[in-house]
Order: sequence, then structure tokens, then C-alpha cells
Amino acid sequence: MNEVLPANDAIEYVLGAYMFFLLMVLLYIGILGAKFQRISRDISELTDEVEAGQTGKAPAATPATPATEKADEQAEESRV
Amino acid sequence: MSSNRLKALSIATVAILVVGFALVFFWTPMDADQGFKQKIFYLHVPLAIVALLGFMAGGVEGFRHLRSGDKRHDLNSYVFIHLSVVFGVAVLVTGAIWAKASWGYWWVWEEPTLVSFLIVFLLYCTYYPFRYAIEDRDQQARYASVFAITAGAFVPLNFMAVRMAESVIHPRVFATSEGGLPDSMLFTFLICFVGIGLLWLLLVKVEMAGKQASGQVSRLRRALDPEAHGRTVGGRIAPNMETP
Amino acid sequence: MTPSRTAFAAILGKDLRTELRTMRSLPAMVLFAITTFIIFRYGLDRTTLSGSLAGGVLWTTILFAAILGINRIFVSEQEEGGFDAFRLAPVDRTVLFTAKAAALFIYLSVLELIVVPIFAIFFLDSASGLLPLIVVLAGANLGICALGTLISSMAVNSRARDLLVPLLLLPLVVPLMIAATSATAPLLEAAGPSYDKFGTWLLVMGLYDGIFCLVGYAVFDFLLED
Repeated sequence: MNEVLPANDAIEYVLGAYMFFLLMVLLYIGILGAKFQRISRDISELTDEVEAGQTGKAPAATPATPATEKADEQAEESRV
Repeated sequence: MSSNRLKALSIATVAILVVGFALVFFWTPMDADQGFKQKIFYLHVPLAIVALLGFMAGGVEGFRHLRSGDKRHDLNSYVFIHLSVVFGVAVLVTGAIWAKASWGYWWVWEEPTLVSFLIVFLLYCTYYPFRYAIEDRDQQARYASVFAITAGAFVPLNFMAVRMAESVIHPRVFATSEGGLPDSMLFTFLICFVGIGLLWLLLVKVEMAGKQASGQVSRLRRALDPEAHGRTVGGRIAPNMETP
Repeated sequence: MTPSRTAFAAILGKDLRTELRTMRSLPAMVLFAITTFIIFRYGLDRTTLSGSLAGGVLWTTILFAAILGINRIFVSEQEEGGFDAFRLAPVDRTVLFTAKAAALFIYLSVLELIVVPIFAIFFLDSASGLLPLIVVLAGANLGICALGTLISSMAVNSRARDLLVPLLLLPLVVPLMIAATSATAPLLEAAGPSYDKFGTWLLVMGLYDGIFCLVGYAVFDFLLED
């Protein structure tokens, strides 16, 4: 076990390399997070629009509501 | 990919990488020639090999796209190449760190594998402006496939030429992985290689899922209001999943 | 003559005749090369060159002059509807590739015929390395022409036409340049030409040319699709 941490010999460089790798992975996760947020925002925008469209047509189109709800569900499922 | 398989892939990737790196630092013996800094190779070499395999897989998908016309192959080609370019950045940085540790300089022209990787990396960096420059989507996909095939053919040629150009026989650091690599080092190397490979695969799947989601958002938009939401989500460079 | 050969001759002839009449590319390429030599003379602060320095200056200049020509090879087709006319013709589409590449090869050869002796006059102490240099020039020209034609046909349909050719061509042509300069440098040594690894580098160039001629030949069809 005395090979573990030699006080000499480039340990900063090795750790630096692995840290850089970790940094890149975390950065990528961060970018994914941002992308996910944007998509969530878009989806809530669209949901609002759909619902606004529904209430706009509500008086004449009550039978239409279950149909749009079903379409929303299907969209949700295919997204997962 | 279903969320269960994605979860399984993520867990497997993290587990294998953690085990691999733990082995690197706590189990594998020290290299006799280079000492502790040799341990960079358990990170640098798998990244490089996976990136190169990714580039060539991108070429294969390009070929399949030209053959069948199925846009999914173009999407695969793009994502493979994109992620390999990202991995390529990591290859070059870890390679530079190793060079600094070994020779004292951040870059050495005498290490042929590093130099040829740089050239390959630069070539694939041109993939993005190239795609961007072509407006028609179908043409863009076709031309991108041609690029992927040409660049794929280029990779081995380039390595050969650069290697031959090195007249001075420098102590090849990668000789440790060619000549008598002790079993313990080989084992650790393989574990790290599998881990990095799974990481690449995982990131590919995640990118695809992201593109799928963006594509569906666009379709919803357009279904709701064709005039107001004419703009495409997902940019002009990359293929998207708008048309199923 | 098979229809392909007739088409090949027709396209090549048209290109050469147009170039002869309008002199669009060649004078620019030649002037560019000569001016670049002068810039190198001052940039490097040298009045004679030999060995790898000579090879480097010569090949860099030829390569960038070639890019000027490559940029223009499909421009007339693009502007005057030549692509469409060609698509309608009952010929194998790859003939356009081979004919254009052949035209480019001829332009490059003419360029080198003019420019290499001038290079020798400017910088070289002895001209004894020039004869074997012809082989190296021919080998490199072939690769540059195959790739250049392929890339130019894609670039001509894009937004950033003049930018795309150097962007894509330069990394792709690196192995060829490695081989060409490595073969040229010993030929231009001050002490007289040496053939150190000459055959090996010619082989590498041949391999490179073979692969990319094949690739260009195979994929060109897809580039012309609508």
C-alpha cells in the first residue's frame, strides 16, 4: 500500500487531469439541466396555450375536452 | 430508450468508472519508468480510443444514411461525432497535462499519437460550420454524411503518416501499453476503457432523448399554431427530430 | 467512344477552353505564388533555402495557390445552371467528378511548371533536385485534386463558399503534405539531392491518393442528387 501517495512525482498533474475530467462531466450535466429547464418552460407555455384554447371554445365544445386531455396524456407518455 | 434502461446504463457507468478509478489509485502498481504520472493514461487513452471509435461510428452511420436515406442515421452520425469531439477536448487536455508532467512543456510535437489526434480533432471541428453553411436540410444531411465518410477514411491514414514522420525515436510512452503490460495494469485499463465507453454511450442516449424532446415541442407548437410557431427549435446546424 | 468518355472529354475540353479564353484562375494562382515567395523571403529573412525549409515554403505556397483554383472550379456550373444540365444528361454522374479533377490537375501542373523554376531561381542553389521533384508534385497533385473537387462541389452550394474549401481541405490534406514535404526536403538539400526514404513517402502518397480518389468516386453521385 505504499504505492498510494508518493510525496513526489507529478501527483498534482495526475489529479489535475482527473479533476478536469470530472469538471467536464459536471459541466455537461449543467448544460443538460439548462436544456431540460428550457424544454420544461416550453411545455408549460404550450400547455397554457392549449388550455386557453380550450376555455376559449368551452361553451360549444365540452365533448372536445376529454379528447384534448387524452392527447396531452399521450404526449406526456411519448416524452418519457 | 426507455427510462429504465437509461437508469440501468447510468448506474452501470458510474459504478464501473468509480471502480476503475479506485483501482487506478489504490490497487495498480506503480509504473517502473514513469512513476505516478503514468496513471494519467488510464484516463487519457480510453478517452482517445473511445473518441476515435466514435468518429468512425459516425462515418458508418453516414454511410448508412446515404444508402437508405433514413434520417435517423444522419441524426446518429451527428450525435456520435458531436460527442466524440467533446471527448476529444478531454483527450487533448489530459494529453497536454501528461506532456507537461513528462517533458515540461504543455505540448510536444514528438508524440505522434497526440499530434495526429489533434489533426483529427481539428478536422471534425469543421463539421459544425460545414453543416451550418448548407441551408437545405436534405442536402445538409447528405453532405454531412459524405464528410463523415471521408473523415472516417482519413483517421487511419493520418495516424500512419504522422507516425512515420517522427524520425527521432522518442521513448514512446504508449509502449507501455503495447509491450509487456503487466496483467494488473491491463485489467485496470480495460475496466476504465469499458467505463469510458459506457459513459460515451450514456451521453449519446441522453443527447438523443434531449433532441427527441425538443423535436416534439416543435411539433406541438406547430400543431397548435402553424403560423406563429413556424420557427424551428433546435437550431439550424443539427438534425432534429421534428419529422418522425 | 463510350458515352462516359465523350462526356469526360466534353467537360474537360470546355473547362480548359474557358480557362484559356477567360484566364480566370491561373494568372491569379501564379501571381499569388510568386508574391508569397517574396513574403517568405522577408518573413524568414533568408535569401537561400534548402532542405526542409525549402520544402516547407514550396509546399505551403503551392497548397494555398491550389485553394484559389479549387474555389473556382465549380463556380461556373453553379452560376450558369451547369449542374442542372448535367443532371439531365444520360451520363454517369461521376464523369463530372473525374473531368473536373482532371481539369484541376492540369491547372496545378501548369502552375507548378511556372512557379517551381521561379522558386529555384529565387531560393535554390542547385536545380539538381528538381527532376525527381516532378514525381512528388504529380503524386501530391492527384490527392489535392481528388479532395479539392469533392469539397468544392459541396462548398459551391453553400453559404460560405470561399471559406468552406480551406476550412475542410487543410486538415484533410495534412498527411499528404507530410508525405510531400518529407519526400521533398532531402531532394532540396544544399549538398545535393538525397533519396532518404523517398520510396516510402511516395508509397504513402500513393495510398492517400488511391483512398481519396476512391472515396470521391464513390460518393460524388450523392452530392449531385436534388
